[in-house]
Formats: sequence, C-alpha cells, structure tokens
Amino acid sequence: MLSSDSATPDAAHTLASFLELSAREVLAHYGLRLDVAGDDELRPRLLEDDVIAILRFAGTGEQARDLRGTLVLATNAETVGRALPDSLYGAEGGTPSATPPPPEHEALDWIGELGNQVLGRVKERLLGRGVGVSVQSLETIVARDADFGTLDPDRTVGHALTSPDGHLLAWVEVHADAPLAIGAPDSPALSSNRRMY
Amino acid sequence: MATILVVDDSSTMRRHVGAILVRAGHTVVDARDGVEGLERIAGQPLAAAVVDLHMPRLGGLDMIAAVRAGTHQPELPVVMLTAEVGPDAVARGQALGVVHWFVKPFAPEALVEALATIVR
Repeated sequence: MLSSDSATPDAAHTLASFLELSAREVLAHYGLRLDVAGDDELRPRLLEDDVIAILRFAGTGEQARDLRGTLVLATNAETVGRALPDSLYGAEGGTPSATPPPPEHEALDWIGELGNQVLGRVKERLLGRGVGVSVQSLETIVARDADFGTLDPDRTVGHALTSPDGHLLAWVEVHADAPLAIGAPDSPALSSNRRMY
Repeated sequence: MATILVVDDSSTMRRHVGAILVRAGHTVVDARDGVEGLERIAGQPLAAAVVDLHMPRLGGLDMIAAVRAGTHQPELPVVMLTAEVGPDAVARGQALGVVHWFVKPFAPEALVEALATIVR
C-alpha cells in the first residue's frame, strides 16, 4: 500500500503505479504473476512463517530531499521457491513445482534480492521523472519476528499486490515533508535484458 | 574455458550466476562482498569478474577501484550485474573501465555472450 502522507495524491498514485509495474516485471521474469488485491486484501495480512524484505529509501537531490519511504515484499518459502531462477533447477532436472520449498535462510536471501530488483526499477522510473532515490537499508525478516504497527490502513491509499501463484504481498509507504510532484503514472515497460553499456 | 569471479552478497544470485557460467564451460570462484572479492583476486589468476554494486563491507565499485590501484590483476575485465541504474554509479563504472553494465533481472545468454567476447 502507499501512504499519501504529505506526498500529493498524484504522486501517491504514480508511485503505486511504478511499484505495480516494476513488481510485475521482475516477478514475471522469475515466473510469478501479480494481481491487484481486492478490497478485502488491502490490509496486509501476514502469516507467521512469511519471509519479508523491507527496503528503506530516501530521496536525493533538490526535488526529493524530503522523500523517504519503505518498500515491503512479503511471501512464504513455497512461493519464493517458485520464483527461484531456472538455473537452480536445471542441473537436477527439476522444476519449481516439483522442488521442495527452500530453507528459510535461502528464502530470506532471495526475497531480499527480489525486493532489491523491484526497488531498482521503481528508482529507475522515478529517475525518469527527475526524482532521485537511494536505498538506505535492506532488511529481511520472518513475520513471527515482525512488528508492523506503522502500517496503518486508515492512512494508506493505492493498492496492494497479490499473486495467483502463491501467497505474496507487495506494498510501499512514502512520506514527503513537502509536496512531491512526479507527474502522470504512464511509464514504458522495462525489458529483462538490459545493459547500460 | 576461463576462471571467472562472481561477487554478490546474495547467495542465491551467486549460485544462479555460477550455474549459468559453469554450464557455459567456465570455472567459477565466488565472493560475498568486495573484501572477499579482493582476496580472491589476490589469490589466483582470473579471466574476468562479474560484480554486484551494493554489498556490505565493500561495494562493487569501491572493490574495482581498489583493484585498479593495486598490484593484483589491475586490468581485470569486470562486468557489473546490479539493479542499480543511477547515472553517477554508471558513470563511475565507465571511468573505472567496467566493460559492461547489466541490469538485474538479466538474460543469462546475454551475460554468457558478453563474457565470451571478454575472455576469448
């Protein structure tokens, strides 16, 4: 979900759109589909064994110096197992659906990497609007150790994302001390085979 | 074929890239951050390195800067493999002689092809 806080409604809408598009692209690369959550799923519902990536970011440059936010991906080991790279199954001739869920430490490692890749694309899209963002921290935890008291659904707008391929939630909170202008949400798709040079 | 260093703080990504390169016929050594990367570079001859950017202790670009300024394989060809696309980082990579800058998620065949031209 996306907290409008002091970000303008347009900025909140655009950021939610960037999250959705970026998460769809990254997770599709690894074989997971994403849906926009229904109204009854807007409140993040974590299960005890969920593995969670929490990425905190902050704006850079004049336009976004007051921007700060958090991107969260939450899922379970079984779903993470379906999103492991193909190369990790091929050697044994296995498939994601026929492979046991990865151990917890591996699930945490991969959900962190997926979160990093999603945020990388959100950053790229923001950069295209002149808004610089840098990652402040990446933390991976298990839900039984989590405290999500700051996720207040009464203060959030936008949408959460879920997957028909397994339990998965993605949301972002953004706070800006000053109004943040980003512009319209339209953004071109980013392919999975890109190099800067 | 060639011995290639893979430096990434994600153990899963190291295994992923390592599996791709082994299937392409390479030998792979890995490291989980820039500090370990420097140790590997000092310890054995390498044909190239595939390096992540953001890592604990020592990031990819700082590791490359240390390699260029050091005495162990200072001209080691490097391919960046990262989710980062910030212009400052990309420009610094070019200034440090990074050969290619791949953005995650990536196409395995493109990475293999790029390395084939480097280690040929």
